[in-house]
Amino acid sequence: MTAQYNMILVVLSYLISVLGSFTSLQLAIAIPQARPGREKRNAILAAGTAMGGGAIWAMHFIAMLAYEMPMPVAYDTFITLVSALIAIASCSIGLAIAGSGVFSVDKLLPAGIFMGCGVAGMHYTGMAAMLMPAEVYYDLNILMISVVIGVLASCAALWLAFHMRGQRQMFGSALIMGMAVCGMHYTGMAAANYRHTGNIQEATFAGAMSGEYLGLSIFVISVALLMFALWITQARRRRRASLAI
Amino acid sequence: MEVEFTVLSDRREGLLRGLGNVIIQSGFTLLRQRMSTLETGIQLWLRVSGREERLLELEERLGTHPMVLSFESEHQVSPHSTQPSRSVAGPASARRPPRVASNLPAGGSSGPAVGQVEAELPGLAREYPRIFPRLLGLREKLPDGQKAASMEFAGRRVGSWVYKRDYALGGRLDLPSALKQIALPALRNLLSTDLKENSLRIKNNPLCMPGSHCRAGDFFSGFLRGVLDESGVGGQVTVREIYCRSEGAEDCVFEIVN
Repeated sequence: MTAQYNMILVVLSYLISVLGSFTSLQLAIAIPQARPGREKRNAILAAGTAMGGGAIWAMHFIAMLAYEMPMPVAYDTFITLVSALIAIASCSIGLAIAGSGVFSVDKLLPAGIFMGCGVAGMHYTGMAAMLMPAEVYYDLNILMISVVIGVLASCAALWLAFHMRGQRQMFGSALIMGMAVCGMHYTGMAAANYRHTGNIQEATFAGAMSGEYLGLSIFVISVALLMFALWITQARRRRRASLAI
Repeated sequence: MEVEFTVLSDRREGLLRGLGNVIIQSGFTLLRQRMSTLETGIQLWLRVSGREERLLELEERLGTHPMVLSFESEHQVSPHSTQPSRSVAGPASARRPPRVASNLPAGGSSGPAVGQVEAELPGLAREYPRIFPRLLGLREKLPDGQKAASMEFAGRRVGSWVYKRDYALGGRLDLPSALKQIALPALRNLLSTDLKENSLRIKNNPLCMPGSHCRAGDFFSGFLRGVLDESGVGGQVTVREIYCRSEGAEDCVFEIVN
């Protein structure tokens, strides 16, 4: 089976992952300063949701829309939601680890593993949500490489976000995290092989999410991320200007 | 037993929370507090209750707390104080001579001229990072006995402010990383600076002109202290100037040790 990528949507998928990563990591670097309890929990959840729901989930489905297949494809709503929850939960855990206590390599590695596995977990669960007249097989070696890319690039992004200060912290971490998400996704896609079954079961498609619904969800998430990123930037600029000596 | 403390600090923000934590960690309970602004700084009056055998520990912790410039304690054993609104005396009444001396005398000849420095701080913030003309002017105006402590105090306040403004967001770092990622860029914003292991070399320091005998590097010691205290590693480190331009060295070199 031959499929091809719409390059405009591929570029868009990277941009949305960078935007989501920027929003999430800007929220995440405030975790160490948050007061223990409710404030810290909210900071972790906000950052984890922006990363899992924005940078990873939205990116994944833009990339799936970019992958033009010669057959009808829809997505099982329940499994699609589960895939988002996996990403949000594992990213929240990873960011909570990175944001607790003194930041060190001991924290970086488990945090990067949670983040990288969150990206991979979301991706492969999202793939399992696909409803189409074909079966998917994976090349195990490439699949492993995709997970390793996700973990290593997540570690690099977390290192920049929590260890550095200034421009590299702000933009470098988002660009690298975007590479983690996209690198894992597109390598994972290269691991997938499809075999036509020729079996189109209309009943299977009932109640599933099609491209239009996905497009709408992604649009809403993207606008929310953009607004949130702008709000964070403005709020920090105001705080910086008003901070009394 | 119940004890009253009157604490003098240079910072309002986070003072009650910081000292509240110290009180709780020492096994005492905070009963009342009152904060007021004096010419010499921020005064916080605290009334606490707890076990007498842990009082020395509490006094030791308060005395070494980085936000405390000085404090007085007044022991007031009142086992029948079931109605605190009536039995609790204000800090001015029934005052005995203070039992504990300050760890840094406030307003004494060697202490900082808090009022004078405070008056300059908004200007320093406005002109940051071009602050040296104002700092030199401030040093000129200070009484001789208070120059060193006041410049150190000004440095601490500016360092603390710079950290909160530019470097607070991010992970908590260990000392070598805090020096590299926070202290070095913060100093480079002011003057050309290099970092070698735990030593920061500041070039062309205008506060230490040859022959000025500034040796203690007061402003920069305070600045580093302020930055590192806020970043969470300050409690573990000592900042000292090991070479000074005023004494013929090429540059001022500050060593930060655990």
